[in-house]
This record gives sequence, structure tokens and C-alpha cells, in this order.
Amino acid sequence: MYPQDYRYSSEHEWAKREDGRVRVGITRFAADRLTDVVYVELPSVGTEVRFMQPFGVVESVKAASELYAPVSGRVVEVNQRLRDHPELVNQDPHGEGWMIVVELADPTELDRLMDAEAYRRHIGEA
Amino acid sequence: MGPEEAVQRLQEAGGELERLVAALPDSLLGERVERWTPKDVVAHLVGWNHHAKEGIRELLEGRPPFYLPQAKEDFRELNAQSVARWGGLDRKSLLGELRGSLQALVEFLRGLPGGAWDRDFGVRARDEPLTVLGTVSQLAQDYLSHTERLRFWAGMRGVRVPRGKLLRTALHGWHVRAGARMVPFAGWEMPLQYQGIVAEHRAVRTGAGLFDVSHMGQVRLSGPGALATLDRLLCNDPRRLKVGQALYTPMCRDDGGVLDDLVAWRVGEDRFLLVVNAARREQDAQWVRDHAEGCWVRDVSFFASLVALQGPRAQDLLQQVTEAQLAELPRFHVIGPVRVAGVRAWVSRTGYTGEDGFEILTDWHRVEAVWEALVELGAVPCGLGARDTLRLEAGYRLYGADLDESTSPLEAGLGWTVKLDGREFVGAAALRRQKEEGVQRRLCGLVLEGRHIARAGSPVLSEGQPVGRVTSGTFGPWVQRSIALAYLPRELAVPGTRVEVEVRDRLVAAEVVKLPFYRRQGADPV
Repeated sequence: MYPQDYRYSSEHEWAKREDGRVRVGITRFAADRLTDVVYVELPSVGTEVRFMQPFGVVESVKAASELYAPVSGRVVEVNQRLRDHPELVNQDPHGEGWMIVVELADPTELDRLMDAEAYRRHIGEA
Repeated sequence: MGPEEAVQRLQEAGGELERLVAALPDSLLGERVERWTPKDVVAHLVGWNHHAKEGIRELLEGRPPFYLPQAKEDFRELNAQSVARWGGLDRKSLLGELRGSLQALVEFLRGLPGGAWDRDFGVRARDEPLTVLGTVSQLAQDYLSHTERLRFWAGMRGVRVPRGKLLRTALHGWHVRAGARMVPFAGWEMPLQYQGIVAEHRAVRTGAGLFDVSHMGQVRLSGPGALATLDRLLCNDPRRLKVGQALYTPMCRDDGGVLDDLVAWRVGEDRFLLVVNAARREQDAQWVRDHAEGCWVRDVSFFASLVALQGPRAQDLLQQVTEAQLAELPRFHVIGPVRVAGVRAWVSRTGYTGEDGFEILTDWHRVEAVWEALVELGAVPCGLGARDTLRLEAGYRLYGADLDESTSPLEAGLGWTVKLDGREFVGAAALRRQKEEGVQRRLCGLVLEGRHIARAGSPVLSEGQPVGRVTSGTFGPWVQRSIALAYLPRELAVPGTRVEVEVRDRLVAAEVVKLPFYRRQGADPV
């Protein structure tokens, strides 16, 4: 359910290291809690995001929720498909529902995130 | 009949029940969890004569008792607590409990305040001992405090209500087994969604969706004064109702503030059922009781389950499990009792989704057969999430969000339900004045640009100035627009007016539109 090679934030974002970059999305747990996502507001390429600071918003039919950057760095890629297909966040939160890719500024930040097991404990599923 | 005569009838009823208890075979008395505990039997014996008799027959004929499987869990715990008290589960202790309960009712009757009997009790003229027993014990509950009443009822229903915990409908176990996400709502634990709000929403627009709305309250009025009582309380005119018809209406305070919005069913010449919001159930029942004359008011919410089958295929599906002729049941009509999936039920052609559909009222514990039969036929279980997005697309107001005691039905755009001509219901004078002077604000539909979603509380601005607040907002899964309801000053409450809504520190352009946001093909104009 929660990939072993991802890192997880207390605010339910995941971070997947891809060489010097980090792909970011929200966890299955968060996607389920939000209910059906209908809108994702993401920064544009080139924006600087900061560790555990808001970088966007995800809206469902029920509620809005801020997205927190699990790492600091410059946004180098944004998932444009979410503009027309926000449902991908619910369907495949750990894969096609990814949100941004960040050029990793400080690799030690990843150590401050949880591994899959700790995250599952965090959400009470372990 | 006066109180003293009722006491006499109670004692006769006691004798009748004792004979029934004496006829119970020993083998049944030994059964604890799988069938009834003596306490359960007694609750039924003294509480509900119809079910007492039926229940005892069930026991005698070896039929399975009618409790839901999940109630057994509650029984088990209840039993653990009561085993010490019940000890040997013998016939003697059962009779002892029966006599104790009767004695409590007799004392209750003798302690009644002056006038209470004539007002609340005397209207029931039938004097068959078991009927008197049932009547008195139910009325006794009406005189208990809310918490005491809840516990009493819950005990009778076989449902435990721990202090401070959420109430559960008779379908709770089904929802949990189906993997629904359960959330607290108006004191109940209810399904928010099963598969997903959008999928459920679409199922209702294109097929048939099934909702458990048993959390809603039912208040029954019976007696020769029932119609006159409602005529004094409802904004809409209950005298228009023939037997078998229903109407939507606000119920107001003296100043015109909305106490609740509800649907009134006329189920008999002198019998009405009010289907009210869960969060308002207690206040409504008390309000009606306080204003009742010549009728008996009962909150029957814990005796009734209510499910809603909604969507273009609703009639198709429901017709397969009932002999009632649904094609001949117009909108806002109600029939009953009829059989639905073998269960005694009342069926109304009403709903809260903007689609054709039905609401099906059954005995509390019999609803699961109806629910499962409809799911089997392809009805999609839907949670409160889809119920909210559907009603908002259809422009229906939600009490607590779009309506409350500080809003009047005229402000809320419900003027069509306010029948002032020659009537003097509670709030009529205030509403008449409002109507003459014109309301200062009106509830409006807003469509926002893009996918930014307004939420309850979002400020609405015109030319940079705050002019109102959003009361409900979502992204309409079917209309595919960001939609909202908001109170706006009357000069702005005109379709086509441009305003702005503040959504997370950003101003989003919006347009006032005529409600509803969604209207099904062939729907009535109102």
C-alpha cells in the first residue's frame, strides 16, 4: 500500500527520490480522507518551495486542504494532467496522481521524513 | 377513560401478559444471546403491545426473533452487565420484572400533573387492556428527559446507547461491512461514502442510488386536533393535503425564523407524520407537543427506519419488489402500508436529489431486507457526501447551513411554501409584514469561474465591499461547475449580477444564477 522507497511527511505528502530530484504527491490515506478530488492548484515550474511550507491546494467536493512541500527546492516539473483529470489523485495517488518534481536543495531533509513503516504507524494502520 | 380506569386496564393487561409469560417454554427462557433476554422480553411486553404479542408469538412458534445480527454484539455486552442482576434467568424473575414495570407505570399515571391526562392521553379512546398498556408506556417515555427516553427506547430496540456516543441506524452494520467511511453527523454515525462521492452522485443522476436516511426524525400526530395543530405550526397549508399526500414546509418561530424545514405526510384523516432533520428532531417534537391541542404527539424516530431510492431507474427497481402501483403514485404522494421486499412499509414519492425517487419507511429493525433487495437489483449505496452534492445541484436548502432560526423562509426563497391567505400560523404576522415590506436579503445561487470552490463562510464581495457570505458550496459533479448558495442584498439578488467570492485570500469572479443549478428532464417547474 505504501511504497517502501518513498518517504512520508506528517502532513501526508510522499517524496520519491529520483537521482537529484524528488517527485511529490499525497498519500493514499490523504486522498481517501479528502474524498473525490475535483481541483488541484499547483505552483508553476521555477517556483521555489520550502520544507513543510504550503505549495498548493487540493480541493475535493467536501473540503479544501493545503499541500506541504516535503523537501525544499525549485519546481522543475508539474503534473499538467491533473488540470483535466484531478481524479487521478484518488485513483493512483502514489503514481499517476503525482503533483510536482522538485530539484532537491538539501538531501538531509529526506531524513527528517518518515519511512513507510513509521508512516503507517502515524496513520494508525500499522 | 380517566387515569384511574387506565390503571385498572393496566392491571388487566398485566394479567394477560403473565399468562403469556407462563406459556413460554423453559427452553426459550434459557436462551440468552441468540434470542431474547428476559429484560428484552419485558421491554416488549410492557412497551409495545403489538410487538409484545408478535414477539411472544415468534418465541412460541420458534420463529427467529427480529433483531439485527449486529445487535447481538450489543446484547452480549449488555448481558455481561446484567447477568449479575438476572442471575438464573428463571420465569420468576421474568414475572418479577414484568410486575415491577407495570407498577412503575401505575405510579407514573398516578403522579401525572393535573390536566396532562386529558391533553395527552385521553384522546386515545380505545380501551383494550394491551392497547392502554402500550399507550401509557409510550406516553410515559414522552415525559422522560431526552436521555432517559433515548435509553429506554434503545433498550427496547436492542441497541445500546452509551453516554456521549454516536447513535447508529439499523443499517450501521451493513455500512461498515460494505466498507463505507463512517462520519459523525447530527449525533449519528453515518456513511459519508462507499465507493466515492462522484461515482455515487453519477449513479443517482443516471441510474438509482440508495441512501440510509434513518437518522432523520419522524414525529407523529394523531387525533381529531392533528390537522388544526399543524395548521397553526406550518407555513405551508396542511389543509390542502388529502390522505396520501405530502408537502414540503418550513416551521417557524413567532418572528418568522425557521425552526426546521420538513415534509408532512397525511397518512390518515387524523394522522400525520412529520419527517424532520436529525439535528432538529428533539426541538421539533417538543415544539409540536407544546402547541398541540386535541392530538397525541409522538417522536417515533427510534421505531422507524427510512431509506431513499433516487434516480431515473428508481421506479423500475422498486416496482420489482412491491405490489404497490408506483406508476400511479404522483410526486409528493404517499401510500401505505404496502409490502416492499416482504416488509410492511410506507412509500412516498419524495426526495432530496433533484431526481425522481422514493422514500421508504419501515419498522426500525426490518429495513435491512428492503435495503438488500434493492442493492441486489442494482441500486448503488450512496452516502451523505453524494446526498449533499446532489441536493446542492438541485438547489435544495440544507437546514443548519442555508436555513436557521435567523433566516426567514421568504429570505431563503421559499416564498412558495408560505401560505398566508386567511391563516394565522406561528410566524404568519412577521412573514406577512416581511412580505409587504420586501425582504432585505435573499438566498441566491452562485456559479464561480474555474474550479475554485466556495465553502460555507466564504465572503461575497461587490465592488470590493463585503455584501454577504456563502452558506453552502461545492464542485457540482454533474453540472461540472463550482456552485454555491449565498445570502445577498436584494438589489444584488438578480440573476446575471457579477460578484466576487473570496476563496483562500483570492477573489474569484462569480455570477448570480437562477436556482436550481440542475433540473432533470421533465421535472416540475418548482
